[in-house]
Amino acid sequence: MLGGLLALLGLVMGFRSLSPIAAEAAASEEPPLGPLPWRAIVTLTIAPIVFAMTVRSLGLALATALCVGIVCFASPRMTLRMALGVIVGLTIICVGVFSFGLKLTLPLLPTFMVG
Amino acid sequence: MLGNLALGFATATTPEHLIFCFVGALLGTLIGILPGVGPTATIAMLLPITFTLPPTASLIMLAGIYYGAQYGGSTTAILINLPGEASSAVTAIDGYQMARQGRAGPALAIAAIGSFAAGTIATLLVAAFAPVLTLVAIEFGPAEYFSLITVGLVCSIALAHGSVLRALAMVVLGLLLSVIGTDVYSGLPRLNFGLIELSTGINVIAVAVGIFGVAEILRNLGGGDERSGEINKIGKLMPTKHDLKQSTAPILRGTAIGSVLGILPGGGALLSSFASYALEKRLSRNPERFGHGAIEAVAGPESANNAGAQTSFIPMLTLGIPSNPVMALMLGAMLIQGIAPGPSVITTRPELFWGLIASMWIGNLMLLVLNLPLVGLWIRLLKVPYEALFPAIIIFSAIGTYAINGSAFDLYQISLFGVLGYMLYRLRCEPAPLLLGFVLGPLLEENLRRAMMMSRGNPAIFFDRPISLGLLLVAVALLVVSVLPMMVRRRKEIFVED
Repeated sequence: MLGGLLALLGLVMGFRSLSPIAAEAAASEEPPLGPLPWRAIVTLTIAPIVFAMTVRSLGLALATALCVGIVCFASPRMTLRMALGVIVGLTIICVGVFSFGLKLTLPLLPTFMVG
Repeated sequence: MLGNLALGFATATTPEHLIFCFVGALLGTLIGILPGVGPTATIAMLLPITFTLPPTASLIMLAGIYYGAQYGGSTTAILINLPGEASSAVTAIDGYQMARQGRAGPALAIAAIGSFAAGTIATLLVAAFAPVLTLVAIEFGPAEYFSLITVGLVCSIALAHGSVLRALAMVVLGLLLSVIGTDVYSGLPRLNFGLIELSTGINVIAVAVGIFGVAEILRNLGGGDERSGEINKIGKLMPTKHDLKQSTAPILRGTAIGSVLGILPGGGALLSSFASYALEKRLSRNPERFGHGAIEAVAGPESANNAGAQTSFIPMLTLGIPSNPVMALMLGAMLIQGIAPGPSVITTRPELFWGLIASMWIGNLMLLVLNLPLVGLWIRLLKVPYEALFPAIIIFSAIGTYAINGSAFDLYQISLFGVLGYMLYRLRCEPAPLLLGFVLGPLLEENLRRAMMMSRGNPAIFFDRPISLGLLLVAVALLVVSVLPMMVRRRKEIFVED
C-alpha cells in the first residue's frame, strides 16, 4: 500500500521531469536572475554546521561569535568595523536572550575554561 | 457565541496574554517593515523560543506576529515603494503615488483603519463560523479527512503563482519528504538511508527556517537591489471626510474578498490583496486614477490582506488543516505544545481557542494605536542596514533550532534546506506548496491508512461516502480548471496587475 503510494508519487515526479520544454517556454519570458551568489551560499551553509559542531565544546558565547563571524563574509558590502560591531552586538544579545532570558541549558563558556 | 467570546476576552486580557499579544504585534510590525524578513521565516525562527511559554501565550504571540506583519508591510510600501511583505505589493502601487503627492498621511491612516475594520469583521466571522465548522468536522471520518486534505493540497496548487506543474511537483516533494522517518503503524524505519537521526523524520522547523529564512537571505544577497534612500514626508495624518467616504465601500468589499480567500488553502493574504485591487479597478467609475494615487486602491487591498490573514486561522483551528505556510508552522507549534489540532480543540481547550480569537481583535486594536502615532519611529528602522540583519536571522535560527533537541543534525538540515530553497527559487518553484505538503503529509497518510483499514483495503470507501466523494470531485475539478488555457491567462492577469 505504501509502496503503491510512493510509486504514484514517483510517477508524478517523473512526469514533471519530462516537461522541461513547457517550463522553458515560460521561463524565457521572465527576467534573468543574475549570477549565483556563491560567497553567500557557501558561508551561510557552513555557518550553522560550524555552530552545531562547536556549541558543545566552545560554549554558546564563542560558538555564536564564530558563527556570526562566518556569516559576515557573505555580503560583499560588509565592512570590517561593521562586522566587528555585528559580532559583538549579536553575541551579547544572544547570550542575554537565550542563556539568561530563556534559561537554556547550553554551556555558556568553553569547557576548558570551566574545567 | 457571546458567552464564548466573553471567555475569550477574559483569557486574552490577563496581563500575561496581553503582554505576549503586544510583543507579537510589535515584532510583527517590525518584520513587516523590514524588507527581506518575512513572517514565515520569523515565525520559524521564533518557534523554538515559544516552546518555553505556555501554549495559549505562544499561539497568541505567533498570531500577533502574523497579522502584525500584514500591517507593518503597508507602511514601507506607501512611504518608499518597497513592500516589506509580499501581500503589500499591491498597496505600493497607489499608496506610493499618494505619498509622492504629499498624501502619505491619509494613505497610512486609511491602510490602518481599513486593516482594523477588516480585522474586526474577520474576527467576528471566525467566532461565528468556527464552531459551526467544528460541528461538521466532528462527523468526519478518515475517508472524509483524506479527501479534505487532498482538496487543500490541490487548492494550494491552483492558487500558487506561476506554473501549476511546478506547484504540483512542490507538493509531491513535500509529501515525499514527510514520509521519511519511522512508519507509524509498523514502526519500521523507511527512507532514512541508514541514518539514525532520520528515524524521527525531517525537522519541520529546519525545513521552514532553511527554505524561508536562509533561502530568503541568499535571494536578497544575490539580488543586490539597492534600497531607495528617499523617504516621503508623512504630512497630515488624518484623511478627509471625502477620503473616508470613498474608502468605506472598498474596505467592506476588500474584507469580504479577504475573508473568503483566506479560508482557501494557498490563498490567504497575498491573493486577496491582488483580487481586491482588480475588483476595485473594475468597479471604479474612473479606473484611470488607479496607479496614480487612488485611495480605494489602498483601502481595498489592505483590508483584504488583513481579513485574509485572520480567516486563514479558521481551517487550522477547526479542521487542523493549515491553509498557508504560517498556519502550517502554527500547527507545528500546537503539536509540539501537546495539543492535537482539529475539531476537538474548541471543546477540550475552549480558553485557548476563544482566547486566541479575542486576542486577534485586541491585537488589531493595539496595532492601530501602535502604528499610526509611532509611524515616524518605525521609519527610522529602515535605516538599519541589511548587513546587520541577516547575521541576526541566521544565529537566532541556529541557536533556537539547536535548543529544541540539542541535535547538531537539525542544523545540518537547515543548511541543506537553505540551499534547496534557493535552488527552488532559481527554478521559480514556490516554496509554500512544499511546506504545506510536508506538514499535511503525515495527516494525509494517517487518514488514508485508517480509511483503508476500515474498508479492509478497499479504496471504494472514498467514493461510497457522499462527503468524501464530493470533496474529491472538487479537487479534481480545481485541478482541471487550473490547467485550462483560459484560466492560465486569468491567473496571469491577476498576478501581473500593474
